[in-house]
Amino acid sequence: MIRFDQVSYKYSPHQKDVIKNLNIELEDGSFHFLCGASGAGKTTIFRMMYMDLLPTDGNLSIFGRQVNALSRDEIAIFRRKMGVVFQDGGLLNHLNVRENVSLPLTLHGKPSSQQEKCIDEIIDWVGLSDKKNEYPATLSGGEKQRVGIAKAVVNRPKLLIADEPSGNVDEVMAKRIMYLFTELNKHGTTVLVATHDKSLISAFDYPSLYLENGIITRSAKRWRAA
Amino acid sequence: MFARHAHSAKKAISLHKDSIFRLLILILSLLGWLCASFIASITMLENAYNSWNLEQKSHISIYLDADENRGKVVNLVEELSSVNNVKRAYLLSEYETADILKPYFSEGVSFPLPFVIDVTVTSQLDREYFNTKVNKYFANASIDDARDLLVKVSSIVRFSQWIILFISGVLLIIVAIIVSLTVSAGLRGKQISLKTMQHIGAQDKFLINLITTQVMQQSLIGWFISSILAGVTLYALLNYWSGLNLYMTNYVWAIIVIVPFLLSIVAVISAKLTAKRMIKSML
Repeated sequence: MIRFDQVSYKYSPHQKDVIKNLNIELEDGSFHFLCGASGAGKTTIFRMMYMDLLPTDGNLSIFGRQVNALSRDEIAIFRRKMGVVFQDGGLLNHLNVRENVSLPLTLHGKPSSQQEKCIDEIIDWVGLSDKKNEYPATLSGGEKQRVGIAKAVVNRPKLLIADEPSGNVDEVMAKRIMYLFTELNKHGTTVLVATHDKSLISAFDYPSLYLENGIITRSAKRWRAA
Repeated sequence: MFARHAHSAKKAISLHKDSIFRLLILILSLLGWLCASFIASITMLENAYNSWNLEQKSHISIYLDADENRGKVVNLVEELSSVNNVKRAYLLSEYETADILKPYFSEGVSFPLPFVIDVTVTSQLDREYFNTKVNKYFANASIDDARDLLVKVSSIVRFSQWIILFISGVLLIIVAIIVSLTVSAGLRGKQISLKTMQHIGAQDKFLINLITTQVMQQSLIGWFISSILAGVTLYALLNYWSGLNLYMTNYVWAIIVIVPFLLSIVAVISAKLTAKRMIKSML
């Protein structure tokens, strides 16, 4: 599904590498946590995964294709198979909840009745059925995060990458989100979740990758408190 | 139902809330109106010129002194009628001659009137032969030869037409630049929306079409308004100067519809190229 092979990235030629010789392989249907302090390079890895950034060195393969060899149209088509949960929700402020969630569906050819059903189901699931017509400016941080998650998963993506999805929500909602991700994973979605939340990592039995200064320092089957 | 979802994509990259984009209708309408009026006036000028030119080319007036022998004048008229490519030679009556001269003499025509022969000819007339024929009868006859005037008027008309065409061309370029600047300003303000759409898998052509469609809508409204304005302007002119009716062909009416439409096409092409350039610069 995704393979980082000696991948490095630097934001400008005169800066040092933000990611250094990264080697990761995420198999189809796997679930991983990506852990690391702020500035460790998690967001850069995520941006490379959804091809917002292309590696400056090494090979990155997504869905079996080298990203550097993809055309712009192919990148767009690959992105449709992904769901991305951004730290800030990634919502458009001039669209209401329903419109934000429906955006990915505009690019898919599902019958409209199914689209309606998907939108209603997912908004209900993230507990915002009473706020379907609200605009992001009137939502709390946690609610925005939940709309962002709804938007990322409404298409049942093959790959889901979530950057701190539990950052702005309470423990109960964080677990609900993780159960949704688990459910998607059971249906074949490959999931990568970046998080600081040790309790969340310990509550779910998934392998973790630890990132420090752009390098994966270790991987563990399960978080163990020191 | 699909329209409702498509609506969210349109709303995501809607330029309609930008005040500069709203001004586009006004600008397109005004420039379309100016362009249509200019080109329509060129065409009317061409029609008027052609009509005048034909008139001048097909008529020759021969002026003879008042004391010339009338019988000799009648003989000349008869002989000219038989010359090749002369359609008609006609000696004007005293009343008709006085009528022609009246505008030049405010106190009335009280002197002996000259003889005036009006000759209708085709363009194949041998002018040298014709002049020799007249001069054989009356050496001091004044033959009204409009050829120099025709050349002068022709160059003035062509020059005016080129000037108007040049101004219309400049207006077209101005439209392209205004649309390009408007679209780039609008898209700069929509970078987050564009990025978001790209992140969920929107292809370049999808985004370009969304933007171009909005400009197309504005352009179509601009086309409609400018055609109406140009039509009203011409209608008012025709009412004010009824003489212009002679030169108001269907072609002129077609021009006031076609020219603003061409302007709209320029606007849409400019928007499409600008959107393409801006979106391709984002990954």
